[in-house]
Amino acid sequence: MPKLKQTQAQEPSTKARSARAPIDLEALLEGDPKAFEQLVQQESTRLYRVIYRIVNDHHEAESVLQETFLQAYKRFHTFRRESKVTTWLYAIGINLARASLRKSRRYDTLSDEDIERLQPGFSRGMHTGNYEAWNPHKMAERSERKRLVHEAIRKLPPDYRLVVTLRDIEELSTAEVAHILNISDGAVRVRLHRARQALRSLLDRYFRS
Amino acid sequence: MLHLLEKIRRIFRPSPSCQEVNRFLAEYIEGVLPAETQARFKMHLDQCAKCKPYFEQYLMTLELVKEDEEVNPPEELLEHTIEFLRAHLNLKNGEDRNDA
Repeated sequence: MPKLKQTQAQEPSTKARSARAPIDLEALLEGDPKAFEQLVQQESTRLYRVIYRIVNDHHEAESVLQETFLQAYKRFHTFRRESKVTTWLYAIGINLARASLRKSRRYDTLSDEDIERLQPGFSRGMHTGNYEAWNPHKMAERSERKRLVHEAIRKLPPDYRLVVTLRDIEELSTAEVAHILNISDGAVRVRLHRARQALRSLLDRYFRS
Repeated sequence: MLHLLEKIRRIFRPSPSCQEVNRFLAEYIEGVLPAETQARFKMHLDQCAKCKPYFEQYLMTLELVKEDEEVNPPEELLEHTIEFLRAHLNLKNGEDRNDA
């Protein structure tokens, strides 16, 4: 079972800031092939995971990833230096992935009404539900637990899945996620909170005593 | 005197409701609330019989989500991507930089 942490780091974690050789930004923006290849090598895996979680198809994810880098190379002259170049790259990839998802109509997710239904209820400011610690025996089997969590995440509507992927799985900062999605920090937190509460509710069915 | 009044006001300020605390859980976890609010929320979450187990489940959900690493990119991903880009950009090099 994972260890329960009381707080989550405010800054991007080591996963998001893993030691990497710095890319020469000026060379990259000039279209230098070496700098571009370095960007491809450093960002492919993580960007692929983010794209895959949107399109939910390995072949399509690879294709979108390639198109993302191609688009980025063509559009480096439009990069305004208002964010990190990787944040800008992720925004391109996510937009392409969303477009691919819309085209493919591979939707099999919860609706906004379902998400609303999975939020906790309150009466006069107090919780109406009763909660108790999850059953450790039901959570003990690692592969089954991972399967249930993965399936719960997959059920989230794309916009909710995306914010969970970027913030909680890839551990980008709230500000980076806000920049990528072109929404405010507050809107990121609201969407993230609703997604987490929906996931909690979905998992509660399996893990309650 | 004002300082003392402020202290008294803080002591008698009603505890936040479960709904108020719940609404700002993401901010609380990220530590971006004002220090006083953060402390009041912590007290509520430590003591409220409903919020305490709910918050533990919420945190556990976060930990479980972080475990989700089911997405394994294909081994040849990087090779394919670099091949694709080299081929494509070599073919259209020059006009690519101007037609975007």
